[in-house]
Amino acid sequence: MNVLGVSCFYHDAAAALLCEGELVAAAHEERFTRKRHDPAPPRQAVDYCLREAGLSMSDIDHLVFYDKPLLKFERILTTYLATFPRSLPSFTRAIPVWLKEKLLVNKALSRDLGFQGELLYAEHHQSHAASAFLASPFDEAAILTLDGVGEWATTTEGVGHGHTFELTDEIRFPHSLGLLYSAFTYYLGFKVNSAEYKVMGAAPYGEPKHVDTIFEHLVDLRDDGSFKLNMKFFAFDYGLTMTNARFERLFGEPRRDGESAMEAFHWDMAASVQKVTEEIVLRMVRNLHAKTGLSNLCMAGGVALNCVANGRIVREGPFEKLWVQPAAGDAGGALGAALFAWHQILGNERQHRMEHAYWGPAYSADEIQTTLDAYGAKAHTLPHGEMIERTAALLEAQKVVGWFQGRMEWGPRSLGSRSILADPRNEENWKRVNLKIKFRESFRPFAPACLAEKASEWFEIDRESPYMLLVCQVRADRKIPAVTHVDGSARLQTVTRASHEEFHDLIRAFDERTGCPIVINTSFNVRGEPIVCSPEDAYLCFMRTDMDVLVLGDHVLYKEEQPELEEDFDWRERYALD
Amino acid sequence: MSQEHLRPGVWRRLFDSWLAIVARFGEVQTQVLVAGVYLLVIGPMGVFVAVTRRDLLHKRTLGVRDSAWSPADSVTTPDLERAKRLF
Repeated sequence: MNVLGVSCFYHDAAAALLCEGELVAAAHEERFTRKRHDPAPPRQAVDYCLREAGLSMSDIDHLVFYDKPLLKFERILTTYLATFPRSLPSFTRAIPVWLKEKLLVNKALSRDLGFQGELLYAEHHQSHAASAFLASPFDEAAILTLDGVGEWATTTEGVGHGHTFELTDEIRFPHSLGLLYSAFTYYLGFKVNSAEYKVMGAAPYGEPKHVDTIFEHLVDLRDDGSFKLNMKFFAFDYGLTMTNARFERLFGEPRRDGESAMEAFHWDMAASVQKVTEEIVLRMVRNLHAKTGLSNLCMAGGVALNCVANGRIVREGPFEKLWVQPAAGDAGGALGAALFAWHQILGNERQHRMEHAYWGPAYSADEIQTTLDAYGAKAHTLPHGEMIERTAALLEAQKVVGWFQGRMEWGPRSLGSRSILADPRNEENWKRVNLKIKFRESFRPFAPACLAEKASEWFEIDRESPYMLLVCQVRADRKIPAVTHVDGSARLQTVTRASHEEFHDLIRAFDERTGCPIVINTSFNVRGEPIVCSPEDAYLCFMRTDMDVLVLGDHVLYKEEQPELEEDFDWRERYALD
Repeated sequence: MSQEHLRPGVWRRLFDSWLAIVARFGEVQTQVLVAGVYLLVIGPMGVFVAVTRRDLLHKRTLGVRDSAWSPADSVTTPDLERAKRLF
């Protein structure tokens, strides 16, 4: 039996395919369409999943959508009732889209995906919970899902046993930790549902001076981790913005213009909302542990991508083990919907445990060669071992390398398949990659990818972090300035050979040359662009930036040897800044 | 049908003109219609909700001992028939 899960219409459309309960493929639509956070029905992601499994749409037994549209619509109408007449602008903008598309999910998906059967629907947080627990390595675990909002729930907690789980408690809209964080993201001039991670990255530059103000005026936090927002300060329930004038008066500053300089106040605000988020999550986690008595915790939902909070759960929380699904945001709902149908609805036992995040497309040597030929690119095709050694030597020589190997990652992080790599010992690499290659804000930190077997020698961590979802401290005696944040922390990825052979071999070769088992690992894209998917995407990104070297499979390309890229448009205008 | 029947009369020309305007300003028309629905349908109910001080979104502050957790709305034993529903 083949079950296809789909998420779309809001942001981060994606598809995930289970064949007899085994995950075969999963991918984000944005990677194919090259539109960041593309919400459209994931036609190309579905096509890829079917291609990977050697199936056609007629072979799909169940197509599962990741939320319940009518429940969501009920919440929206109720909100309009409760906020009349201020919600008029929001109503006139949202309702036509609902009537035209979102209420007609079955028709839209039949039309766009070609599925002729009857659609199944999982609730939004059931999808998150399924993606968290049913893909986890645990037979039994507590479950916590946190995001902006699904139908009504914004936060749920529950317990998973075997192939089933039960969500027992929830916090309902508009009281949402995800929306609180997004409100501050908006106030700080960043893009909502896109750039929340920038606020997290900005937080260590500031002091959490406004925590008391937030708890006094905005968030009513209880001992059990539940909370209510004081909606007098927010506009997301009725308007087209996240915060209102009262919010600005409370903090004494207007909303920051997106491209203006970050000042002390903004860093402090980022630090404050981050601290508040951590306190709420930690209190929830302790309460959940007290209620369940379990030793394992699974998390999903957009807030579960907050790796600083995750790091504190690992260090301070009462749970022994934490597992966060790599695509914890709404894209992961596609996987959760499929797992929910296979296990919870159809009653099948669990076979699949997610052991890596490489569920996207791979490209053969012939396909890569075809791309290179099309652009007249000059490549050096090396034996595999020599390619590894050459790349390590180039990194040691302070070259910035575009690294394209194997199957594309599932989730928002580049984990060694579609990555830009550099030497972490050289602080200049941080500035260079940020400003001249990624064209992004100078304050944003880079993540280290480290051999799993040596991680504890360099970082204060006692477990693996394969999906770059834990932040920990760099050991004081280690000097890797290009991946060490201002507070001495790092967003670590640990790499095992079992999960990614080529990437592990490369880091090991770099370690043998330099004594440093770590490389800078940042996503292979420029600011505003989705992570590259195909060899063509990678070649174009390489040629448009100051990257020195591109390694496509066993092909090594040097920038100075390439013919000039002829384009009749400005690619910078293609990708809107986030 | 003869060509005579297809020749637009006054009403037909007015209708075609309206369609041309709508095509150009369709979005504006949609906004106007939807705003009308908001005022005429949501409006009276919204006023009722406000007058009767119903707290549909549970915005009022908590008592000192109250929890904001509520029992989850999800069904504990999902079945295929329920999964086929949009609600």
